[in-house]
Amino acid sequence: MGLLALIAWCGLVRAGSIEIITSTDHAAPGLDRAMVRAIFAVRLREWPDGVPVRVFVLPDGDPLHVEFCREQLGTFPYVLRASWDRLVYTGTGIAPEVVANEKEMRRRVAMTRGAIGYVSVPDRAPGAGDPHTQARPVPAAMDSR
Amino acid sequence: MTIRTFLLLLLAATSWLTCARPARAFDYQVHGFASQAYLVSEGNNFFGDSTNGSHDFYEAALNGSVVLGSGLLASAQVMLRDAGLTDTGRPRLDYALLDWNALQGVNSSAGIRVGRVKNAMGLFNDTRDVIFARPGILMPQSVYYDGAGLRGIFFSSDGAQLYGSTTLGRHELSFSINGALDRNFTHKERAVLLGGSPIGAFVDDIRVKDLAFAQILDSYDGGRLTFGLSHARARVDVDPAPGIPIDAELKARIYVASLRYNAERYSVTTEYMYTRSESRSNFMGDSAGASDGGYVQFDLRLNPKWSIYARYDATFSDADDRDGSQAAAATGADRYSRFAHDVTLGASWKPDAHWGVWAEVHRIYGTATAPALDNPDGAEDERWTLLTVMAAYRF
Repeated sequence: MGLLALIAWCGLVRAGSIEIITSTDHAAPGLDRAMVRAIFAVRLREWPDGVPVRVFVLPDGDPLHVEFCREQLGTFPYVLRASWDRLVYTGTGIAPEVVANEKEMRRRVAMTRGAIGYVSVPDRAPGAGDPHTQARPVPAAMDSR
Repeated sequence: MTIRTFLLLLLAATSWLTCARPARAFDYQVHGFASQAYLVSEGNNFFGDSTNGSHDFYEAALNGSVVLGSGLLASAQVMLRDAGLTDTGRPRLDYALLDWNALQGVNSSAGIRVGRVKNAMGLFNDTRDVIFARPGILMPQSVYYDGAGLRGIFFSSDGAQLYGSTTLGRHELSFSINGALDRNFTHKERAVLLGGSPIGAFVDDIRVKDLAFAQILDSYDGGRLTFGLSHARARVDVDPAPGIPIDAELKARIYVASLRYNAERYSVTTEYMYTRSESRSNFMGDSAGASDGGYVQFDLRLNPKWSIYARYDATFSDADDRDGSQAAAATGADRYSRFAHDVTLGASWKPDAHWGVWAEVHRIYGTATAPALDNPDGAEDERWTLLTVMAAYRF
């Protein structure tokens, strides 16, 4: 993580990509980009089985969050933050919970029912790292854009 | 202990508790914020005795939401705000609602909210009292007028809101429609409306009827471009005291067009409001008129912590008399009180996710936006300057 932070701080483009991770109790297929967008915009609040979706994100300024917003959601962190602020201050939705780093992200997603988050993909097979989380790259073929 | 001190202590305690055990966005969430401003002006007052320096502008809120399952969410927010004589600083229940998101799909969503619900009008009406969710310390007064003391009517209403959204390609279309229960003016609102007018003695109740709001928004390409149209309408009826043969009614219709472009480093926001009002009474005759105004704001994010912004905001009491000369000729009114052109430069600094500091300077020509309550002898200087800073904390 320290190395990642150093690399990000230096402003270099990271070679890795991003994986969406969910808690093992929600391994349902069909998590395409449209669904990921609906979940992170808090339009989709429940999984198909009715369990509330619990969304975890990294801090607004975290380089991985910035990349996730751009690559997966097609938006900017400040635009997303504004939409979450609107939920909080109008009482119309639960804003995602901010976790400090990727290690915390993996831990919280693994131990929380109905959880979803994202992590960077190191140079190894997706999902091989943490046995408690199920890592899933979003299939490019299902991109709705 | 004043209520303000109590609420700030409560906020601090809750903040400490949630820091000790991080605010979980699981089955519930608890959030809050507090902000304090200082204003100093030359010429006229804005939010207190600002020509001598005013700290009489602060806001604080504490809110919570609980997921009840089956698409149900319950939320409430207690807020206090003081802004010179235009607001009281007393806690109020800002919203308290039950939200049933009855239809949930990947591409479409719809539901109903019942209770005290925030009213959507323009891009910022429903979050205008939260410094972290509005475009500066002071709102552009052309669309978000603060001077009348009747602002509470527009913020949130007891009633219901239907809402929905759907995705069409790269467009996300959403709508909301609010219907409010009829209600009587509070004592404070009555006092603001009637002032020291002798008419007050002849009036039993002033009633807001048929208050409704509707909004459609098109968010294109992940929020890069947002276009919105909003409409609000209300009728105000005067019920005379028993035996008094007066009859009066005011109808207002408000239209707002909004456009915002978000790039990575900058945003451009512009909104225009048009208000048509008709009044009818058996003692002052009938009248009708239209007021309008609008603003354009440019925000530049220099880095994740620092932003600067510039805004031009124009307000006209009569859309057919933009320099006030007709009103001056017809009634002898001060023509400068019929419009305001406000050029604003501002900066914000957000050192972390919790703190923010804002500063802005306004150079204003015209006094239509100078609150009458803060300028009891009338706003005298047609060219005036206002400097304000605000610090805020949220969790």
